[in-house]
Amino acid sequence: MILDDLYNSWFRPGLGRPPLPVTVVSIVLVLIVLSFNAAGLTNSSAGGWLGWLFLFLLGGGVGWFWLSAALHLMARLLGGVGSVTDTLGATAQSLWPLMLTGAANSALQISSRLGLLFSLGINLWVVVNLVRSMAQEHQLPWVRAVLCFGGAIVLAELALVGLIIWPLMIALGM
Amino acid sequence: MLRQDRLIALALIAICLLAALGNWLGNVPVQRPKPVVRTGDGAADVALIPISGVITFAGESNPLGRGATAGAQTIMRAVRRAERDGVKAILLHINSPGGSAAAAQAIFAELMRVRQKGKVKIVAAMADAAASGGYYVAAAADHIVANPSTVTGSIGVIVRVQNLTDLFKKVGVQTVTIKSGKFKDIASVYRPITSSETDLLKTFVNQSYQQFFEAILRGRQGKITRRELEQVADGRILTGTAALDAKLVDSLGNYYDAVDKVKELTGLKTEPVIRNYLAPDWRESLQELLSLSLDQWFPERQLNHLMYWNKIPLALME
Repeated sequence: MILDDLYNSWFRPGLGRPPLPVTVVSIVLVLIVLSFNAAGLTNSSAGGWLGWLFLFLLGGGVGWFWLSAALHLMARLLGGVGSVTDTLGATAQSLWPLMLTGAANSALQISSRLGLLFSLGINLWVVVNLVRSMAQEHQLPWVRAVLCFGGAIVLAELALVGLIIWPLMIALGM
Repeated sequence: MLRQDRLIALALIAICLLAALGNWLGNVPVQRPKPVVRTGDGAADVALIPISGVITFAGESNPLGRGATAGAQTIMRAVRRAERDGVKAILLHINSPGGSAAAAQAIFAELMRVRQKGKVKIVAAMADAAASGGYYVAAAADHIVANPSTVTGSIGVIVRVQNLTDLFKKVGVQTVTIKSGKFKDIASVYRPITSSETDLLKTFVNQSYQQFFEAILRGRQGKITRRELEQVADGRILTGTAALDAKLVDSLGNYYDAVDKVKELTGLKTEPVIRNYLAPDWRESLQELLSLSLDQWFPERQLNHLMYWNKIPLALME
């Protein structure tokens, strides 16, 4: 049953990567929660919420690709053995704590400190998940897995800077 | 029986979704003493009703939120809801060049009904423009605040009839009209207008103008005389400053000055809690979501809107 698999993938990650439908359900839940949060923040109507959902589907897909690419490159440089599919799956599965951001935002309305602590915890959980899943999929020791994550973030940021500078370079240089 | 793992997973999903849904549907907490605009349920002192764009009965919603044009039906429902909730005042934030005579008239009548009961004060704050139909609606307020440069006035009715016969001849279009009565195809673009049609339209325009004129006199009773109104009700547009001189508005200022006026009229000692009554509540959001059609995302919808306007010969606009 999918609920069993969801539970295992969330709370027993050591059992291995879950089947594809479980990852998809997990990601869809995350996107729904994030789009609800965005719609609340922007006072959007139902149509607005749907707009946010489509936008996050698109943006989330692109972001997922870039983060996975950076993670995979770093993992390979550090001696990782996992395939691209493994990295894509590990990245997608690691993001599930973002589903708790709805509750974190609600906590923010009760106490800003509690909400911030909750949000910090969620982000930390995502990072731990990513490091752990990269170590698992690519059979990396944990120090290398941490380096892999850190390097991937730097790489992704550099790619973003490059994306801004390249068009400028071409536009101004031509 | 569900196993414990399944129950935990299910509960987690439900809690996360419910919390996020709650963030969306009831997000902004009540704050005092700053004036706040709320969108969720709860008690408010002032009902904010923004009237933006062309005023029609149909209105038009935007796929990323309501508010492309002002729908009279939605505005009237908001007025009723505000009255039922027992607000102390209604704050109209008008930014409209006008619209259909019937829609503006319907909103005016609804506001006057509430005003005449004397329990709810109505203040209108004009933004870029509150002309023609926009002014029609504003006239129902106890107090009108305009920015010095607001475009207002344009008290009048207009019917435009085009004759495209020469153009159709050039492109080879011929039209045959079969009608049950001589006036059934009045304002047709396929032939020149006749003198009897001109007379009929003149009567139509004059009647509508007279209704508009009398409504303003009724709304601004004791503030402007018939003679004074006749001098400016010739279709001219005025700046906010000129409108103050002409007694069409009561004071100059911005939205926050209008909020201060609300406080003064209602005798509120603290900053009022303002709730946007045009922001959809959860039932309307759900209804909107279920009735959302993909044609809203495509340019054809704009075409439909234009066709809708072509079918309304009478407009209080510009």
